[in-house]
Amino acid sequence: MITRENYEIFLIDYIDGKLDTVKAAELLVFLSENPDIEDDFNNLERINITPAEPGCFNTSFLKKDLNDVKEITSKNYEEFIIAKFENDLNPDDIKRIDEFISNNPKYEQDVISFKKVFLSPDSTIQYKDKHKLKKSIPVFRVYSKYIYLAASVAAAVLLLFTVLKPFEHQSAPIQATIFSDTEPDSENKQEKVQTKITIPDNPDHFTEIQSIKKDIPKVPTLQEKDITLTRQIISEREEIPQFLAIKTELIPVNSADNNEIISMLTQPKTIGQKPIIENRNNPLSKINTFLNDKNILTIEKVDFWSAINLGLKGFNNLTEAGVELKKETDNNGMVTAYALESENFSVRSTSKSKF
Amino acid sequence: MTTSEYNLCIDQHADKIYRFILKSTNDEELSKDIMQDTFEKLWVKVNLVDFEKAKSYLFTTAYHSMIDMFRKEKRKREYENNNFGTESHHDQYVDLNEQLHAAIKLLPEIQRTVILLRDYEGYSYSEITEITNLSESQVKVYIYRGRVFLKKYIGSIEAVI
Repeated sequence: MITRENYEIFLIDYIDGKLDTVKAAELLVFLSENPDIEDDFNNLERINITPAEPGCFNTSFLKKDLNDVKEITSKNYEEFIIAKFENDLNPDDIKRIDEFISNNPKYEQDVISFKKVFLSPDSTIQYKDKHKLKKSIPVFRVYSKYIYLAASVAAAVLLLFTVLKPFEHQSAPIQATIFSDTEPDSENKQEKVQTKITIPDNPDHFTEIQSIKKDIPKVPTLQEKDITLTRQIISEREEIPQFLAIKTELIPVNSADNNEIISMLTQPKTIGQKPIIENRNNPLSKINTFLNDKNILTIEKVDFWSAINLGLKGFNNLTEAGVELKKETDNNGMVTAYALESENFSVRSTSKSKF
Repeated sequence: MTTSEYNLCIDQHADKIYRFILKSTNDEELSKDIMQDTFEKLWVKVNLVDFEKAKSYLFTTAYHSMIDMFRKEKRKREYENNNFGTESHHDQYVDLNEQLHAAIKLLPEIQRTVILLRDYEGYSYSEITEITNLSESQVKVYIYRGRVFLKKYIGSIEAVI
């Protein structure tokens, strides 16, 4: 409903042609009932502003360029003086202002004054906290991707060596045959024994032991004996010092006839290894001496476990990844699984898949 | 820009930027805040800003940071009310440069800015235009008005002395 309070809205819409016919009729009725408003409406309707034609208003005269100023006067001379000191005048205008000043000596003081108002930096003001703004240059910023690439490759190689290589030799059952080519020495109860250990999956890979003295009470001459090999990690044996056990792995060998335990250290791809001469400064020599004292056959060993752990230690130092290599053994000491673990991932390889 | 170049920018431009800000704001703490803000912004875009254009970037950023700080903290008005209207200057400065630096504080902010950029760093009109987002004509007008004010200020001091 149109009232005296809201009629302006309908009036404006009517003038703009936006009012529908019903509302327009209602508005006309309202105006006829309110003659004072009708008079205002009639006056408003006559006002019709049309936009000016483009370009009809010349703005160029508003623009100001000193080069276009034809005459230097007492009202604009300061602009020329400043522009001169700002190097903002062409040679002709410089000549003009100089002539104006020479013709009007009373303005010379202004030239001198304007010449003074150019600031020079206050060199006593210095920012003393520059060091706080500076950023340290990261050593690995540029090369970090290469380091991580190298570390990744190293990790991959470690993974291959760690998970695959040991199972190649250890996961398969080991058969060993001990040959004896001498009569047992009744006095010192020693004989020369030749032992050959082969792996069924890889017949070319074997370990052969020659000329190792062994204290056996009763061993038939040239008798082939079946033995069963079981594995035991030397570090798990209480009688072996831990610092010596790090680099060696012990395989107890059970003799078939007298059930004597014969233990030996494995060394893959080593043929005809000579017995190690004791050297007190060599921990491996100490452990050989210890093992010989207990009638144990010894062979020097290339220890993948230590090598890989050493590599992992370097890898962790580089990347702070905290990667650990763990192995699981069964009740007989056989390694059943290897796992490469960190906070973010775990790779596990079991021996069961091989069989 | 590399980190080394960024640090070199600090060595080469920090004093100039600080001088410009301090003379513009006349507020040491505010100036230090703006310095931190300005160089942090440069560090964020350190890979995008060329070393050759770092000075212009720094002055532009410092100027806009200064304006933002003025608006946020309303320090401009407070500063003008507290200092510009009450400062007695006629008998405090003898050295001309000191007189000018005292007088520059009395200029309106935008006139002060363009004159400092022009005189301290020798920026051209077009460079000041880029830094302040003013038109070249506006820059010229503000410089002109600032010069006239400074000239009158110096003249009045010389008359007293």
